[in-house]
Amino acid sequence: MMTHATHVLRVVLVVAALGVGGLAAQRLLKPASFGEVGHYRKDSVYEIMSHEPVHQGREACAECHEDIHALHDKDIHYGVECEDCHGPGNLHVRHHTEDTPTVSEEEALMPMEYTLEGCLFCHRKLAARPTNFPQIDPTEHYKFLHVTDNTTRCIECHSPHEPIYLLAKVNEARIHPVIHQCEDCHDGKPEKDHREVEGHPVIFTCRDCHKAIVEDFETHEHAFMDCTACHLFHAENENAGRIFKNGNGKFCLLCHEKKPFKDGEAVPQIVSSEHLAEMAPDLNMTPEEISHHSRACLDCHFDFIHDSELIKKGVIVDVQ
Amino acid sequence: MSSEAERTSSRRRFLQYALYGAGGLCVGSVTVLGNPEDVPQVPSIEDLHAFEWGFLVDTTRCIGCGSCVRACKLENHVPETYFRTWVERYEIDEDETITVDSPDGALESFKANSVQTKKVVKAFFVPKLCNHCVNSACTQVCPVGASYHTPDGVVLVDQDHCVGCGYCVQACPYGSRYIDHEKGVADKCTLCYHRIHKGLSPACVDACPREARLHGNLKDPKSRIRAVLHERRYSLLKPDMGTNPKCYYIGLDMEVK
Repeated sequence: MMTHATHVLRVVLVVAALGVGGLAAQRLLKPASFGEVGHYRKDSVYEIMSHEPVHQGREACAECHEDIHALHDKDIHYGVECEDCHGPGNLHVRHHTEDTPTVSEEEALMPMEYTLEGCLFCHRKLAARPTNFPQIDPTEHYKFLHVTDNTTRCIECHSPHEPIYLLAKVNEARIHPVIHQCEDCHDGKPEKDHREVEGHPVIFTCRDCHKAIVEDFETHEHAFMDCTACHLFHAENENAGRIFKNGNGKFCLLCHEKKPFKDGEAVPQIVSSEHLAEMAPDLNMTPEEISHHSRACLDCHFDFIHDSELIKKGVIVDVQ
Repeated sequence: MSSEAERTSSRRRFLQYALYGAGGLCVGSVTVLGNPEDVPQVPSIEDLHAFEWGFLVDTTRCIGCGSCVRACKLENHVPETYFRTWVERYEIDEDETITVDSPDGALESFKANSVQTKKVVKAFFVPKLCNHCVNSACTQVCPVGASYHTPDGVVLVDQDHCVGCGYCVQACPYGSRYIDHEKGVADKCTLCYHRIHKGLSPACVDACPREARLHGNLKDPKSRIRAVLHERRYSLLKPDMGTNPKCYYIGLDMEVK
């Protein structure tokens, strides 16, 4: 009987020892705060939360560089953070705000410099990019602009902090200026004309470069119209910066086709089918052939718009 | 006698200095610990329950510039060749073949179309990151409790506790995790946990020039993310996995996996 009791006691002792050992091991090995709110270390949440932010945000930049920030903020690129191009500013801010700097001047320099790639990260032409986003093929862009040096940097023509404005003279750069709407920068239509505002960035008009043609145009019957009524500007595709001519006959007929609701006195009107039938024998074409021709009206009536001789002589851009 | 006097005076001086020292320490510690301006406002666990962080990606706005990838790398010191967020490109050509690529995670954007010989009929970018799933596979498989959900719905890794076994990396259906070989631990997107509780946005959200990314508190009925989710039609990545992700995608194509 006594011998059996010893056996049992041994087992109980071993189990108790294991239990105590286990508890002791758990107490020693289980990290502090583990299991307090879940099956994890609660302190870890606060450790990760306490990391210092690296990117400082545009407000931090604006505290010292208010002028550049204001410039950038009204550009179409206002959504591009300063640190997107210049790199994170944590060391820079620390160096310039601490009384006794712990960060050396060298470390505090903003790390990223301008590269051509920098602009092309967003603006290189790719099939996957939304078509309404401005994008270029650099080779095409240079070819179009007659730029021979492929290391030419975007910022040599486009102002870095407000790239929709051009630094170069349009005529020299051979970039077709973007036609700005006031609303691009302002909320709603401004009260004053931009020419009356001192220090307003230059807005290019057609006349600045195409003086002879614009002046000639004004002597013709269509002088009351805007250039852009016929010359369409395509802003956001691969031809960004190009102006198209709208020479389609249907466009002319929007005003000149005889319709009962139109004022016959104000606008000369024709019945196009009758007019084409009348002209067909002279042109040695059928009326259908004429109407399918893309420049059906302008082939004959070009001089009603502006002097064709001027165009034939190649006087397109005439500002030096 | 004189040596005895010296000894007494030096003992007295020692006690004196010791007392001053102790007093100084007391005053010093009170000044350091008692200054309320130096102590950052840390939310308690109960405070965290007021949040449920969610993320929104508008794929129709993404231009694949890689600003988010670069910002994330720098913000979180992500080692080379690993990414916490990356941008995938899908190109569908005229033969309906789908080409998916993400060269270097789009760290330096995309240099050219990947489909060169055929006509691309449809193409788009899809930025990816940790989905911070409600029923996450990664936290379930962690054998040591180093991967967990915070009370405000963010999936984090306790790097002091992680043993680097890599189960979570294999379990994640979205490929959002990696083993940091320098530290020998698993790592992943923290939704910039160190920023969102300081009132900042995650670095990728701030960096996006097209406002294609948005984070916000899903428990706040007035948050912008809730407003956008009510207004736009969205979908999830791999909803059939049952992970219940909290990263919502606007304009997601059926081909996206």
